[in-house]
Amino acid sequence: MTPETFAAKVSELEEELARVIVGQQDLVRSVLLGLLSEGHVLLEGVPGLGKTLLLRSLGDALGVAFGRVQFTPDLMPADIIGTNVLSDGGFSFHSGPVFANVVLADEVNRATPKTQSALLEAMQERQVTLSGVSHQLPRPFFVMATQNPLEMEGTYPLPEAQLDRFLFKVLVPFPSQRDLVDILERTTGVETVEIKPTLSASELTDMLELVREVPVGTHLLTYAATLISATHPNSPLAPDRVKSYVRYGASPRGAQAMILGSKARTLVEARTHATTEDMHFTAPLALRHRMVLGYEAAVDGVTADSLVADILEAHPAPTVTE
Amino acid sequence: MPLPESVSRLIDAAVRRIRLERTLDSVVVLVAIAGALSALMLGVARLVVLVWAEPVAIGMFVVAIAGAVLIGAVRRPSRAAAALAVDQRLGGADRVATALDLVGRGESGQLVEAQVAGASAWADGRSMRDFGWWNPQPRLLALAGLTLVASVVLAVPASQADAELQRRQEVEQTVNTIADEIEDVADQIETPEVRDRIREAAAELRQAPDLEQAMETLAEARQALAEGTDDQALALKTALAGIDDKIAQEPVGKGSSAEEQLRNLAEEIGSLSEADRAAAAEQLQQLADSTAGTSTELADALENAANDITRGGNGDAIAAAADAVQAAGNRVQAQQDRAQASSAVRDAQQAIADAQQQQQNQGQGQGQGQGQGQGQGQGQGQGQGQGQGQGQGQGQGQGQGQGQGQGQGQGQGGGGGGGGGGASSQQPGNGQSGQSGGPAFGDKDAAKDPGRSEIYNPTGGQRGDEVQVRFDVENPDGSITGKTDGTGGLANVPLSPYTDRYADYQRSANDSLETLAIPASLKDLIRIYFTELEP
Repeated sequence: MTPETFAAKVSELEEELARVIVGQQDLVRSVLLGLLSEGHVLLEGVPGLGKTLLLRSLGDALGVAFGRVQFTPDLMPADIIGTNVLSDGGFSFHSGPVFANVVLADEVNRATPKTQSALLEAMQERQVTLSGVSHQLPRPFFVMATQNPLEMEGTYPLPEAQLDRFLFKVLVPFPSQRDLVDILERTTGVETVEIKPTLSASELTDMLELVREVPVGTHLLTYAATLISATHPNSPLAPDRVKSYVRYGASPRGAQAMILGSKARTLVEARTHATTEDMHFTAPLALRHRMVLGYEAAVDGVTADSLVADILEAHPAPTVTE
Repeated sequence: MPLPESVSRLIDAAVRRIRLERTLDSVVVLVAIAGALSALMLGVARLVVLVWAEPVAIGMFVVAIAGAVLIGAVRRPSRAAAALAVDQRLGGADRVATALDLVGRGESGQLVEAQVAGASAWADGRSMRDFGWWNPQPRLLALAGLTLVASVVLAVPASQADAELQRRQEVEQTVNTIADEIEDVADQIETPEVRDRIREAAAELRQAPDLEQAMETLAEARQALAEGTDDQALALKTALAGIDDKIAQEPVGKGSSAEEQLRNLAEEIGSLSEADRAAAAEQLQQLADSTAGTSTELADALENAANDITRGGNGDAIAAAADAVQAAGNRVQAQQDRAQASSAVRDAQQAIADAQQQQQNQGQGQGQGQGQGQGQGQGQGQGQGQGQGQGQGQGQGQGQGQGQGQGQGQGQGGGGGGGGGGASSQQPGNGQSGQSGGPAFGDKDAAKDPGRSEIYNPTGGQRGDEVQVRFDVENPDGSITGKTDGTGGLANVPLSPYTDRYADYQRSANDSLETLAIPASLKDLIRIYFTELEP
């Protein structure tokens, strides 16, 4: 597979999704980058913006096994990973919805931490263990979770350690006026849209392998390390606002996420090497949920995205240490 | 997989360009630092005399630029940095840096080859014209320019340091010129010890940091010469002149000089007849008698020679007399050399005194221009001092005031400030007499006392009347008593040349200078006075 065919397939996938998702090109692109980087994506947005629709449509368009879990407070780990059932004189394992290529964890912050942990362990290990027996999850395996930032009552915010396991955190913006009109036109008529699969599992696997082969210059690896260091308040590279508002900076997973996302974006745009611009595009996706902000940030209304912008302003381009 | 030539060419060109830009950056930084330090130093030099400030400032700028060039030569940018710069300034979107990195790491694969090929194709159509030119930090550039301008502004207008430097150069030039003249005189002097002494004085003079020190050096040299004065030299000279006159009229032997004739006589005495021996003995006895009044040594030697001839001696006493004549001639020559050297040193002292006076006058002009706002406080303060403030506004008044107070005729029309100060502290009354009219020779006032002779004024450049001293040989103890005739120096007979008495007067004056509380400036005046009178 060449970068051109890679880009063509992604373009075809995006066009298919565009049949149901009006506008939101960056949102769709961000989710696909997470997917192509073989990472899990957390979508955060207010209700009604199409988070679930996007992920469900993506599952349909990929032509792979798709599982959906609606997280609720009474959801149990077994409801996700499955359970052993007594039958024919013995126990047999009945897999849960997590045994799919694409898993939609809808409103993931509504489940209890115990249940969240069951999913997050599967995300990290790509296997589940029940009664001492490990069960491998299929490959490719993606978890796409959504959460609602408005409702605090009856929700269980994901711990930082678990947020770290999501490659990207994508914010779902409110659609523009024109897109809103388009949405109304499409969703209030009689016509329904059927999503056709555009990618097979094998094609997706090939694409994932190709992403890993994309060359990245050492200067970009250094740049990723610089950006990660700059998220730490005690680092000399950190901008002043980071030093003031951040309690803990991003983990090395953040740098991995930036590099993998940049590689994926390289191929999506039919290029042969990652660029600084790719890093700039993926930095907010990879860093915003990995920076733990302090109380002062909440008081002053400072968001992680604004701090990432500060970091990119302080370190706009790679440098070479001589 | 090698790096494509087009990519390598771009990187090499970028290395050279970045190297130049870094050199210029270093120039700006170091010039800003040097400029700040120079401006600070030159600012201080406007208030405090630092004659080395401007050369050091120029040196700092030179060192800054040289250092920047050196840094530029040493700090060669890496090819990776140059490749990154090419991407960032020519819009390469990380193509060149990635290609250089991949080739350097020896990576291969479909995507790697495609990437390197893409970078090569992209580099083919690029040139360094679009690389952009040096883009310094505006604040740093402005700071460097500001400090540079400040340094120039502080350095160009004349300052105290410039005046001081000029003064030192003038002093050095004056001192060297005088030292050259002294050495010229030294070449003409026959007596080795005298010649060495003034050559040594000339060498010390060249090392003098200022005119005061030069004056001291010359005074010491003159003192040393004076201490070597042969009191009998003049008498010996007179005696030798008398001997030469008589021998010229009645030779005692062959030869042109007295010494030569005596030596020939000593050799031929054995072959002379009795009559010739008696005649020679009588001639020598006459010479001894005529010399007895001026030199007992020569008289004794000649008398011994005469007696020896009478006794039929072999001429040894005559040879001894010739030796005595030769020794006397050497002493006279040494004294003449000493006098010549002393005269040269005296001229040098006069030249330095003139230079000091010129500096003082220049200082007065500067002080008047600079001291407009300083008021009466300085005038009073100056009046309390010793008049040594040369070259400064404060010192001018002292010099003038004291000069007037001492009645030495030094008031050169400096005006009321100086005169008032001196008069109030030193000599009430004298300083009020309107000294601005020019030289005033306090000891000569023709209107008051027309009979008084004019005293020699060394600094005025005028030689006064010679005062001759009569001497009387009729003292019972044989000593010579000199006294003025009280009539203004009219000649009496016999008269003793003043040179005979000079040494006594000078010695007495020197003793007084050492024992009495006399201001330093007046000590110099007295020394100069005796220098001018020195035979």
